[in-house]
Amino acid sequence: MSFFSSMDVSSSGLTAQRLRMDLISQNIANADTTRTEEGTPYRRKTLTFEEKKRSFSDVFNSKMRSIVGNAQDDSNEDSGESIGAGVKVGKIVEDQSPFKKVYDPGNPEADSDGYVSMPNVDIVQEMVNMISASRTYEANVTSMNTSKSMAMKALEIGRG
Amino acid sequence: MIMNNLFSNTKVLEKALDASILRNEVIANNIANVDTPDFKRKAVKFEEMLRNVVNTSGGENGNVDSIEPEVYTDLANLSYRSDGNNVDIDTEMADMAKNTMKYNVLISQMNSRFRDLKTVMKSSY
Repeated sequence: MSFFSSMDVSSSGLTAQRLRMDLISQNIANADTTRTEEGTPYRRKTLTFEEKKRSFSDVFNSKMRSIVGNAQDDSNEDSGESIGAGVKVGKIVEDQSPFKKVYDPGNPEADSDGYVSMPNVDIVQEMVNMISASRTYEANVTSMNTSKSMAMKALEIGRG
Repeated sequence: MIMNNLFSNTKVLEKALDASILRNEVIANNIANVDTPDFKRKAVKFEEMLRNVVNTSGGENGNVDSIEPEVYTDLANLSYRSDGNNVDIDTEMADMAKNTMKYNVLISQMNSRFRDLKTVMKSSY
């Protein structure tokens, strides 16, 4: 636990939400892409979030500190569980839901019945996710600013 | 002896500041994980422990050093949303605002203690 680790936690949230935003932009930009490198229409991309655990050195340091602390003032057992180190993106996955079929015989991609496979991107869904990502991003910015103002305030101890 | 007494009055404030910083980090972690499936919010237990120490040993001379703020998982069985997450962003923001105000109060308390010491140390002419 140090003063700046809470800012690291917030910045991991910012990074994750920004990546989510990148994917949403990619989905919206490719909402009409009927041919990708694989030859299929574009598949909607989405991501998973996971809790980031503390690194080995962090856990080790805090354990050592609590052991040394206990030896000095024989206090009670080591305190509870550890805090996570923020959030991380687990993996980026493609949405496997079926493509939308649109009747458009004039389209060069149309099959023999005149239907074109369009990407499984739903613009409305992407817009809603975009708002959600943007709000979460803002929440993390607020949290980062709060940590910063606390750090600055600590410098005032003994001045006034 | 006198030095011990001189600075012992900031001990509780120091502990409370530590707890406040820890709580800030825990809340930041909750906010960062607001979209993580199956994440359960964490919280810090401190005031209760401080109250116990003050009640049993009386005043600020109690065994304040032994208090270690404790992180625990809050409402582990409650799933607030369908993804198993129980972070409510509004509660977290409110907690963070509360925590910052408390922190600022502690800092100004600390400053006023030091100001008192400075006043005493000033020569009287």
